[in-house]
Amino acid sequence: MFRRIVVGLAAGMLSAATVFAQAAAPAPPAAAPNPFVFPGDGGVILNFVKADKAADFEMVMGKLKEALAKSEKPERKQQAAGWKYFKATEPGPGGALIYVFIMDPVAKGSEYSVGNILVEAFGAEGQTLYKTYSDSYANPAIGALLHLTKVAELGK
Amino acid sequence: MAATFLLMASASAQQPALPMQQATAAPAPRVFGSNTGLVLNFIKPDKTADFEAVVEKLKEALETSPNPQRQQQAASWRVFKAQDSAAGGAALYVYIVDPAVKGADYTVTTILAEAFSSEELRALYKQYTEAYASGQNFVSLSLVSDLGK
Repeated sequence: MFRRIVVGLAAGMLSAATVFAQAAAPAPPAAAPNPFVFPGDGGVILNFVKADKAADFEMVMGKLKEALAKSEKPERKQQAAGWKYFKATEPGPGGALIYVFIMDPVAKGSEYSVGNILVEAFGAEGQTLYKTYSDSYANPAIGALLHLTKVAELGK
Repeated sequence: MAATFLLMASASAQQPALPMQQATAAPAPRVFGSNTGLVLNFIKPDKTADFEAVVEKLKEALETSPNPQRQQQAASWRVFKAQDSAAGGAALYVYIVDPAVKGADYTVTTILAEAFSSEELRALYKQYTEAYASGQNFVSLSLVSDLGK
């Protein structure tokens, strides 16, 4: 049952492929609203990754974790504290893997661009890592990038 | 902000349990097969108040349930609204269930049915099911890494 639903979800997202593919590129110019800044309470990003590039993607995510941990900026610690990433049980479009970032809570005003965080921490090596990360993306790269406002915590 | 980042609703998305179905047969249980769950709900833009009212009733049902599993479910179930509209102008509500309670049924209508009288239930079913623009997407997630730990 779940498999059918998620395949449907992925297929539904394909029509937005052109737009979402841009999300794998470095952060947009300052004039445009930055989609990697979450002004509300939470954020979700659905990443589509090539099935044979899972190890690359996860390796770079390991470096991202290291970058956040070693940063001296307090906002990077805040980001790390609320940022988890998951692998969906079901496959995405064309057999792609779906990795889901959940940021809950978000560090308000902080920018969640993986590329920028890597470069900030590792300089030129960060750029190489970012290329590995970008190359791991399927097409479309991102299925959804959601800026969320909390409505209810059902246990409180 | 991100009209360019709209999530597209899927025609094959799962529909919430309908009142008639509920009256005749229990809906299939919605159980997350992993440690975390994500549910995307596509709601008619003029029905968000109805949907949120049912979410409040769901909260009440979980809180007052004598079943300890329901309390466990409540503890890790959060409801968010996306700031950007989905396809066709639908409002997108996201359930984040982290961690999911193993083996627990997350069917909203089933939980409501445990807590309210049949008359109240009928009204809630109607309010809930009529709020949907194009159903739900369930995603079962396995944690790869908590970046803060």
